[in-house]
Order: sequence, then C-alpha cells, then structure tokens
Amino acid sequence: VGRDSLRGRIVVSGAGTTRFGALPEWSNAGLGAWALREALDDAGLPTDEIDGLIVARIADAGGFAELCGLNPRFAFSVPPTGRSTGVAIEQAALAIASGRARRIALVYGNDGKSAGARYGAKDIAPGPYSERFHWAEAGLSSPGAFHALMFSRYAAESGAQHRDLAEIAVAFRAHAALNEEAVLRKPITAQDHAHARPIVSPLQLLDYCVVSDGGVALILSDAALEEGRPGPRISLMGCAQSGRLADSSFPPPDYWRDAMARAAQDSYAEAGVGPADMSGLMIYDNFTPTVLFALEGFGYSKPLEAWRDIQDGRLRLGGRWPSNTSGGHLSEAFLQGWALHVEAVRQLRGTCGARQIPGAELIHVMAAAPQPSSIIYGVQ
Amino acid sequence: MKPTDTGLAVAEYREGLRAGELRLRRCRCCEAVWLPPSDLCPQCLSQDLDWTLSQGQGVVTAHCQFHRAYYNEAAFPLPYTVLLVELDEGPRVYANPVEPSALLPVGARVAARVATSSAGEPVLRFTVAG
Repeated sequence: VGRDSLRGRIVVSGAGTTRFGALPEWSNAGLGAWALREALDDAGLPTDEIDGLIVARIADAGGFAELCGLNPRFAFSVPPTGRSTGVAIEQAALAIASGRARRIALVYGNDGKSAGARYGAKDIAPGPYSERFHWAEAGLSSPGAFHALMFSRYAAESGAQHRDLAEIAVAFRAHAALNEEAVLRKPITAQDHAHARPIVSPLQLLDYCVVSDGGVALILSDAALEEGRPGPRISLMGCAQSGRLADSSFPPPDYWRDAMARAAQDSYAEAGVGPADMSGLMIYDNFTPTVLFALEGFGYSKPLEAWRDIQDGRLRLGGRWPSNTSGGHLSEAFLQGWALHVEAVRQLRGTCGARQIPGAELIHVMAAAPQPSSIIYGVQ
Repeated sequence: MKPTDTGLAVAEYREGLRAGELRLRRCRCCEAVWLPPSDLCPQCLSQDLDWTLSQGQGVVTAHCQFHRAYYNEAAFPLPYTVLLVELDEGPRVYANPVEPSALLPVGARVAARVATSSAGEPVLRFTVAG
C-alpha cells in the first residue's frame, strides 16, 4: 500500500506564541491557552471553529478543552518529549486529510524553567532518563550525556573536534540577536564556545539548549476551508516520520541516519522537492551535535562530513541553507520543536523582519531522534 | 513479568557480578544475546530465557564525563566518566572505568572488572586491557 499524499491538503491557519523565558506565574495549561488565543487571533477564528485538539506537555487534554471552552470531536495529549512534536503534527494532518476533523488546534505549554525541570534528573519519566537500571548503575543520566556520548563517537569517526561545533552555537545566537522574542540574544564567539564550562563533556554549556517557559499553538485546517482567503497560504507539502526505537537506550551506531533517511525520502517524495529546493531549515537543536546528525540524516551532507560543511557559513542568514533563524532551541527557547514550526510559518509569510530569508518558499523542519520526523512547509 | 528495572533478570545479573561473572541474557528460542538484562527476548518475545557468560572483553565505542551531578554526589564524585563498551559477544553496556575519572579513549580495548558500589552492590567497571 502506498502513502496517500497530504501535499497541499492541509494549511496552517494560525500560529501563536507566548513570551519565552522565565514566566513563573504560568502553568503548562495557562501557557498553552495564551498561545492558543494568539493562534486564533492570527487565524481570525473563534474557538467554536476548532473541532480537534492535540495538546503536548499539557497532561489533561479534556481539562484543557474545558479551560478554553472547546468542544472538539477528539482531544488527546502526546507525551512530553521532543520526538512527539512531529508525531502530533502528522496525526493532525492525517485526521484532516481523512475528514475526521477540519480544523485542529495543536497546543504546547512548558513551564519547565520555573518548575525547575532538570532534563535527565530522576523525575523525568518515562524513558531512558529515569531510573533505568543500566543507566543509574553507571551514573548515566540526561539527554545531554546521551548526545555527549554520540559526539565522542562521531568525533573519533570523523575527525571533528569540539571547536567544530562552535559555528552552530554562534550562528544561531547571531540569528537570535535579530529576534526580540529570543531568550539569549547577546552575540557569542567561537572563543566563548570553547571556554564555556563543561557540563557532560565533550559538551559544554553553549552546546546545550536554553530551558525556558513558553507556549506555542498551531491551527491546521482543511485546505478547502481556506479557499479565497487573502494573503499567502502556508501548506504542509510533505510529512513523514520513522523510528529506530529498538535498543534506543544506547546511542545508535549510525546516529539515526537510516531512520532519518526513510523519513526524508518519504517527505521529499510527497512534497516533490529535495534539499536543493529548500529556502531554509529548522533543525531540532537540543544540543549542537544533533544539528550535524540531522544534516547528514536528511541528506544535506554526506555521512561524517556535516561538521566540515557547515564551516562555510551555510547555516547563517545569507548562507545556502539559513537555519534556525529564530535562534532555535540553543538561543531562542527550548520548546521541544514547537517554536521551530512557528518560525517556519513566519518565514514563509515573510513576516520575520531583520531575520527574514528573502523570498522564502520552502522550509524543512527536521528532528534527529529515535523517532525522527521530517515536515516540509511551502507557500502556495 | 515486570518491566526491565524490577525484573528477576536484574537480580540474577547482579548475582553473576558478585560471583565474578558478566552474564548476558540469552533466548533459548532464537539464541539472541543481549543486555541490559530483561525478562523478555527483544527479538522473538519469548520468555524462555537463560544466561551465557561474557569473556569480559570489549572496546570503548563512546565516552562522556560528568561535570555536573544528576545523581547522588557521594556515589558519583565529580568528575566521573561513563563508558559505552561494546562487548566482543555483541551486547553493549554502560559502565564507569575502574578509576572513575579516567577518560579511556574511544577505540580502546578494555577488560571487565567487578567493583563494589557505595550502596554495597557489585558493579561492572572497565580497565584498559593488557
């Protein structure tokens, strides 16, 4: 059985964000409601137009619907993991394409900074970062440690060194300097990157994302509902995911490359485009090495070569593939992928001001993870 | 059967360490061999399982060093190293070096040792082979 193409059948009607940073008076649900209000305003829609609800990091979908006075046909939550972001968006798109709903709100709220969330501490469950016997026994914890392990192997295989990661941190911070909403905006240099304190080496502080409070909402709609609406129409052009979940409490020897290649191939075929066509990239950047793994897995670099390729400035505004123009997780805010989708939409609408990619037509949002996802948005 | 962390398999694995053995979980149906120990074969889902012994030799395929405490600092004084070792029999294990702050290089041949944790449990450690 082949894949039914979603190309052009789903549009982004609204995108909303809260402020990011330290927002101690806000709960996950409160941040989600704030973002949803922004997204509805953006779409010009009342709440009773929403007939599907997917919430992320908000535990109780029904409670959230009650809070916001929604009566969707279905409401459910996805696990509070970054890998769930692509899953949620694809499920929403599939529900719309199959006629189960026509306008779905995807709502994310994260009070992690103010709640003192320590990704990798024992309160993070489920998953390999909680008290798994074979992690706890060796004092292994935290997603950062997992990526540190992966980069140690990558470095040995490729010849890359820690200093080769600086370009990623420096480029995304330069983008954040152009984004008033970003949490960290002060420009940094390669020297700053080199001298940052070690956390779990070989990674240091500036290889880590910035844990933040914030909310994000997207409203996806049946394209038929948006016929004749003025302004640029932002469509889902391709959407796919894959999995490399067996044995996933250990680093994958191929840096998830095979799984990403499958997701890439499916989404490129659906969209009818490839890496050469992209105006810009939004790359899940919980840690700097993840960017290298994604570039290689989704076909922007050959295996073990991304660390060298990026040194030409290709990830910067004005470069071949401007990436994470908001500053990404490393500098704007760690919102588990959600804000990268909003940035993709804003780039395609041409509303990014000083950080606008001129003439942006196609943006690829990608995540390297045990469940990689690949989502391509375009202007129609 | 309970999930991995609380299964009988972990207790039997620890008994092995106490006796100076590195036990690998083995499936009697499909002969898969794996770690961490669990009570379900991740290849064929059989529960008809036993053990086979590792020779305790392997290679460091990744390492990292903690400069920040996520666990009890008395148990893991900073900095400490975590090695990812691929055993010659195939399974991978996480373990600290015998000298916990030593950073054994990726690619190093290593040999298993058994140490006692601060909690009094036998734990697997590695030292450079030779």
